[in-house]
Amino acid sequence: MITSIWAGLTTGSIYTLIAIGYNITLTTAGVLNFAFANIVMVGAFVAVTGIAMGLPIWLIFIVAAVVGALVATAEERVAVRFLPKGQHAELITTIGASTVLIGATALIWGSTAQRVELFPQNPISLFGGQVAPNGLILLAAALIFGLGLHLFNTRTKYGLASLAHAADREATMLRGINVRWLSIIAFAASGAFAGLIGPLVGMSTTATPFIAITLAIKGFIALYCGGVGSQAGAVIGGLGIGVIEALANLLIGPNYGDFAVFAVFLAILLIRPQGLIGTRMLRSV
Amino acid sequence: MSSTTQLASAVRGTSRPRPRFLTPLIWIVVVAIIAITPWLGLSPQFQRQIILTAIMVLLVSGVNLTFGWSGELNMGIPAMYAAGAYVGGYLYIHVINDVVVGIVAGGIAALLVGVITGVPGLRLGGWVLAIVSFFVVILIPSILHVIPEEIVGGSLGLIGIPVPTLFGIALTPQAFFAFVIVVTALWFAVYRNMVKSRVGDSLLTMQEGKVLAPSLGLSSYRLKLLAYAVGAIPAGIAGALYASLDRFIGPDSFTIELAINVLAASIIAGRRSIYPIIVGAAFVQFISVRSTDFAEYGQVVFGALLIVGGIAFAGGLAGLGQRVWRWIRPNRRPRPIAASRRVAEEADSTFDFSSMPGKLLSVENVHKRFGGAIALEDVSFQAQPGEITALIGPNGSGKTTMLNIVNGFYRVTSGSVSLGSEVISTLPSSAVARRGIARTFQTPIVPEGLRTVEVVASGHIASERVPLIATILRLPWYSRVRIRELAAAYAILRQLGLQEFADQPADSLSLGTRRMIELARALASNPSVILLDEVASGLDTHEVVELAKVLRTVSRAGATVVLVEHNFALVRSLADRIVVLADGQVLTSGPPGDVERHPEVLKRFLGEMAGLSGTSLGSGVAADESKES
Repeated sequence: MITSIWAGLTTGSIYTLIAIGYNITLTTAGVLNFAFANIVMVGAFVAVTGIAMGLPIWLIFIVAAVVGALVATAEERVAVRFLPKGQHAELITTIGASTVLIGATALIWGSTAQRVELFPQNPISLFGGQVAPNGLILLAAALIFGLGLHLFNTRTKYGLASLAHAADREATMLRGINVRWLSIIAFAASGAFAGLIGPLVGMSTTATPFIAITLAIKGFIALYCGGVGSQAGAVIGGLGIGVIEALANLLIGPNYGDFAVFAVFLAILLIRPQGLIGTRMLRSV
Repeated sequence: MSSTTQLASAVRGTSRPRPRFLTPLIWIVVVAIIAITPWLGLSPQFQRQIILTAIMVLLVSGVNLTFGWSGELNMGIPAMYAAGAYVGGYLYIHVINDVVVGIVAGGIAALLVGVITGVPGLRLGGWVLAIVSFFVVILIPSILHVIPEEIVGGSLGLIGIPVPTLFGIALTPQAFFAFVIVVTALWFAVYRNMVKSRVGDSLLTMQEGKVLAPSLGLSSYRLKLLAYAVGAIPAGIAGALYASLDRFIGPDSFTIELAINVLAASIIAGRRSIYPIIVGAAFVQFISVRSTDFAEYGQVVFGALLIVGGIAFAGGLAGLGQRVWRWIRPNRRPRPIAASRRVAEEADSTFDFSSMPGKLLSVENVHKRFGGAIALEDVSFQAQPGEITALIGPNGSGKTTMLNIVNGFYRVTSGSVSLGSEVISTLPSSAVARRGIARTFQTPIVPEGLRTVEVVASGHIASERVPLIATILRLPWYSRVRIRELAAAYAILRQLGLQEFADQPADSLSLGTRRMIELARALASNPSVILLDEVASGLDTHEVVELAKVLRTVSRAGATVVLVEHNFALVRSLADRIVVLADGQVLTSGPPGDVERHPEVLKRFLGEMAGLSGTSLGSGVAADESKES
């Protein structure tokens, strides 16, 4: 039971980290980047290569972050910058970017799952359950980044400026904030973030191109249930979804975790469409 | 009665540039030729590829219905496809082995999946619907695991599907090929007839934002759900066909990659395209066959196509074709959509302004607060049938807020609005519109992709409903309504002096013309009350004179006209009654002569505040002259 909850918190942390990544571009560039989870996987694959080359751990993280930032910036230039207005073009182009990345990572690193072992993974006992050290690191990362960015967004000038931008692009432009650079910086930052967490996520999920879409979808559900635009909501949504999934798998039976997540998602959609602690709705266009 | 038959026969007659039967005839001949190719020596491998392409065509038409025509992304096509396949396969093995029963049951199963996933996702739309439908695809393996293996065969797949039979006759591979082609062609005709109809026009209207469709009495949610649910049907049919193709259903046929492939084919063809779907489907099928050993290359190609298609070629092949055509024949005038123009020229009586029975619109003690801000405070006035009532006042005085309350976009904080004896301030906006309240907008809202005459006719769609089945089968019921509606639209356009624009794309016309088109659209609904929000701004002097004439005709015919206007001279010459709003309250109201002598009005509109308020006496002299003439 406790072990299950730890496992749920571990996967939940991954969902949270992805939801945080969505929020970074959503609250600054106003774009939900569906390919974010794919960039996380790029980070995981960079770690696979780095380990094979015998690089030190700190260097692996730096290289992964740099590669992630480059990929995300390229995506911004190609698939986001010239989006036509309205008409859901961003759904198509970011799903397209995600598909390209699945194909590209499979071509570069192969399509079989590969283990990422930055450090040994001996489970430790905590509160009567078993948890891998990496699970605790992921949980810590989710909490630190989620709550940290929440404070950054709500307490600092830069955070508020980016929120203002997402709310009203024209008004922000008139105030002399360069929205084009803001968009590039947001994508680069989210890409660096994706690259940074990639090796950690890969340790839990293995590095494989095809898991990215599942993570992307669960990450979106975490984002939505918590409340779009809220980093604190991402933490609550992600961890909540992860634990519900793990408990349903344990208590009802394997395969029921996804059903439980789906049921929770639909319930939130019908009962509380603004999310648990969200105040604003995702732009419906 | 006889006049409608006359209209119908006139439409079938002379001025249609292509005979009515030609398109179906070409279609039948082409389909027949393809269907008999197996007997002409087409190899089994090719037959299989063509069947798979036909299945892809079915799937793409489903995505086009939701993504292209209702503007919502449906990634759940593989789930609907799977529902059709498993229901079909189960029936073939255990219940009745008949391909017709299979495709009907498969279509219904997919429709149910569509409704179940559409209801929660569609209200919010956008990413939410995309993710809900995506998630259903991820759930497929779990669902197959949970359903007992005797029924769906678990992860090994469903085996033992018998040789397909049709009405008790076992189908040879060649006959099955012909059956697939015919079924696909029939569905294609259904799809084509659905989108090239009032339903298609309503869907395009609905995509033009949240305001327009309800103001015309159309429910956006219902339209989206309709497109989404109908879009599921071809996927179910495709599934039932697939079950008979290999007589085996593998759970790994229903993946996210399939959803991406179908989407890529839709983007290549153009998301609102019809015939190019076949090219898009064939292309994607060709690439997937090529890249079975290198699936990753296929993904890179399809992903890149999504990016390029999403950004640059929103119209896909269909749009590209149109552009090339326009480049080759730049001066070619658009083909009239029907002979209705001729009908309108011949039969002037299809629409006249002689009788438009209006209703009394009364606003009683309306208060409206937005958070702490008071927009309207205790506003009461009446707009009488056969009169023009003008709402004037400085910017921010609550004029447009008042209109939005009348047609149901805003709820009153307290007070009420009634039409005749019925209170309408509690009704949703689409219901208000169906009660006969039409309006225009400060910024004209004209949907993309429709011709002027279709835009005008869209004003009438909600007031006369035709069942979907009659629309798809093009029953006389449908043609009668459609012809009358288009003829009326032409007649209205002529009355407003806009007949030259009738067959042109409406969204590319000038601001003043689009304003007049909005007025025409409002008139097409045969309204009892017309709300006009700054209808004269952006019009030139000549157009203002024309507008004034039309409005006077309309009000003399009995309609209730409510005008929000900055142009005080126009209002003074046109209105029978003026209501002056200031800071959300009624400053004064009465006939123009009384109102313009009111000291507060003089101070606000003629004094130092005049320039700031945006309302002035300087312009609109032309309207004055037209009254005297």
